[in-house]
Amino acid sequence: MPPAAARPTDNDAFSPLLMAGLLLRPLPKAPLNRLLRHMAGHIQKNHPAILERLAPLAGTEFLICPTDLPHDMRMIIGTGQVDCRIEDDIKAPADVTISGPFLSLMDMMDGRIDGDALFFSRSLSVEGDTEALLTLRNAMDSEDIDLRQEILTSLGPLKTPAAALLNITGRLYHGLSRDMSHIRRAATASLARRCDALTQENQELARKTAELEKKLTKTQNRLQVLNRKIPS
Amino acid sequence: MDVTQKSGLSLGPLLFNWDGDKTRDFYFAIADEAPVNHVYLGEVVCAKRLAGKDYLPEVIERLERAGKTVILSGLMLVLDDRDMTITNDLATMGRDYLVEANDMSLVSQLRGQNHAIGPFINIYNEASLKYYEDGGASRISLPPELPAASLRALAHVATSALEVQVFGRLPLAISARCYHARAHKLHKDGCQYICDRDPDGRAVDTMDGQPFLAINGLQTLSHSYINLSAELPALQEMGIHNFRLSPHDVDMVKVCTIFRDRLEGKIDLAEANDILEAEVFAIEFSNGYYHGEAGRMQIGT
Amino acid sequence: MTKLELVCPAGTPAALRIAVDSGADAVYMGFRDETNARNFPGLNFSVEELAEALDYAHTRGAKVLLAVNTYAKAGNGDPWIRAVDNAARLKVDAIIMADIGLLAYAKETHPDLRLHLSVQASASNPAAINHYVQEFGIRRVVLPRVLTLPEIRRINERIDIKTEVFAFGGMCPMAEGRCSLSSYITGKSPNMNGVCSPASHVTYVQSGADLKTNLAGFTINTFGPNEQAGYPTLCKGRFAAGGEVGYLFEEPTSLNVTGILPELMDAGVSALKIEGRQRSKAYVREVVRNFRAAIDAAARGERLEINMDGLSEGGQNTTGAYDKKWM
Repeated sequence: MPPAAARPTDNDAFSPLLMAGLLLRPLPKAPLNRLLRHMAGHIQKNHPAILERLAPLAGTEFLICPTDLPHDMRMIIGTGQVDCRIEDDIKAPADVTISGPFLSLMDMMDGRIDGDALFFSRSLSVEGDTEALLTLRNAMDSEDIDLRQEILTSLGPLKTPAAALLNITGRLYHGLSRDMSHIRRAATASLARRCDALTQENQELARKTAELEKKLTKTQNRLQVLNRKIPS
Repeated sequence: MDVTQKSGLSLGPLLFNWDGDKTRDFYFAIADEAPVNHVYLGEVVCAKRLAGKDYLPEVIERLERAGKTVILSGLMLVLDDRDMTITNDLATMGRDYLVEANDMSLVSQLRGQNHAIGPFINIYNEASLKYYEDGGASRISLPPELPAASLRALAHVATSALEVQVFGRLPLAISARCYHARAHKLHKDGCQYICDRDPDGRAVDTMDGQPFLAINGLQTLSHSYINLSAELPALQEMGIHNFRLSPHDVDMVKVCTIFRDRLEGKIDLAEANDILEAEVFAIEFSNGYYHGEAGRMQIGT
Repeated sequence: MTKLELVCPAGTPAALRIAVDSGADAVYMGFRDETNARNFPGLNFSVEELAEALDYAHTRGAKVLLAVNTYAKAGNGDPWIRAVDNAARLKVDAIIMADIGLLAYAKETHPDLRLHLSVQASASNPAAINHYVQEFGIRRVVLPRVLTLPEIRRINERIDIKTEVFAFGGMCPMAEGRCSLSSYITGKSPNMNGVCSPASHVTYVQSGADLKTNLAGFTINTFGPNEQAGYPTLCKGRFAAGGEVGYLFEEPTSLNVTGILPELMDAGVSALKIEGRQRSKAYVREVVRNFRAAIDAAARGERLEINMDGLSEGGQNTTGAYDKKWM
């Protein structure tokens, strides 16, 4: 843990991917790092205006901590380049630490959801150099970037199986997300109704979890196959 | 110090809602005892406060008899018909008195005749300064947030008498919303003139108890009092010779005297600051804006 | 009855495209420097990007307004002069300005350039507005957010130019262009630097389950674990005045006038301005779409109030000073 980094509170941690993350054992780092490098390179090449906007940040380090995945990422802004790598045991503090659910972080970077709104609703937490984070957010927002697409493009010839995989992951996530939002809604209902709802939802969830567990195991296997295929 | 031009001290408009008697006595004392050249009179914050106050003729007469030049200051935010009536009245008085405009509605009526421009008119650069000078402004009080570099650049080209505030809480913001009423859970229309309870403004602190700002009806002021006694020589050297002291519920005659003595080199800086600190006990001084820093900061000793 | 014009923010080229595609009649933006009041890091347009933006917008029938709405610096007014010259050269549909020296320059040097008076000029009454009309030929005024609906109506009855009012987004409780709160605390002001409560001075501190927002070393607010947060703009924090702690100046809230469009039209307003050049594309997309629908409905004589609490500071909306109760 970095000394200054804030982990979201218990409430925030109640996120669907956390369950998935618990089930999903950490992936080998090397192929993920290669993927990140490819992606960064691709964005650098196709969106030079972003790098121009990031110029004042040269030397700034960001820690991006999805609260529902077993991996954290360190991003270092260089001169005319961006370096991204997985960092599971955070070794040094960063200038900025940003934590939140993985897909929220991705949607924010994609410009699909408003980062300020995420912050207002306490879904995101931020520590460190606020101005640097704002610069990064504005720079990413200045171009039309589809991170999912960038990931796929970075995979090159493997993009078709990976796209299928991303879709599965997305579906898994959104399925879980729906289940969880049921529970959340129930939590705001009256106590009696809440107990009833919880019992029902628990049964339903237990069934779905079992189903998802199976799917996740499959997904994990496919990911590992995929990782071996990524050219070194 | 520049000896070719004599520096003038002025007493800015009273920003707070003091009652009529207190205000009259205050200005009588200023007329009789304070070594200031110009006295700004008039309500600049809230038109409602003028209700039932009739001290102005007496005070003007007394000040003029004492050899002081009276300047009438206009409202800084003109919204409704009442505000506009006061503004129009002031414009009419502009034939007999020097009138200071703090809103464009008054500027527009004073153009073409000799008038003054107050610190609530945005003059940040040479071209704006020239616009107002060309329109007949002979006396211009500059916005408090200008750093020394801007003051110097403006003084370099000014044909009018430039003035800066050197003492008192800094006027930072104006609103249509009354924060005094709001702090007392009253509506603006039924404010009960509650801002009269705080003769120097009401302190605003952070949740952690740090002193932060002060409210004064529609106006928000600095927590700290600006004190540019140390910067007076530099201001004179760059060609600014008029210094505004903003009235507070302290011995303003003494405050005026200290600044006059400083200008004339009768007391040294340390002595002046000692007396000022004793007079406004428990209030912090600041000079940050002048030094290009946050206004609240105190740079140097 | 004519339709209200929808004027939308663009902090970046991508946001501009989204605003235009989502139904904006006009888009406003600034150059990437201190010449505009959203001088935030990573935001705004280069001269080349503005040229591209003009092309994109004009091809699709939308106007482009350039904000040069800070006050030029004494001794170094070049960036402001350059901004005005570039605006004229690239033929923006209008330039939004507040500085009287710059207005004078623009009128003299570029007589064909259409001038709008920025909210930062704080022209809050007919006499002030008419002064700008007579002296500089301004064609539109953006009204301060401190006016009530009856006051806006009275202004419209007494001026001959069009009025634009704020319709959604951040609320300034103070008269704009006359506020030095930010520079008093942080050293950076809207008038001089184009920023208010800048991110460079903001820190977020997670203390237990609470979130503390801090500006230049001053605690602006503390939010409990489930409380909607707000950005630490210094007039929207919780403070103590006379022992009681609360939102002394303004709550963390956003303006939303979708529910009062008929009244605004009736008061003679011509254009609605969406605040938020510093917000994301996602914000622009949703707000512009919703306002497009609300404005079209209002033109048909219908009222379409749209809740956008999710995008708002503190998760709540207000009609601000338009409703006298706000005072």
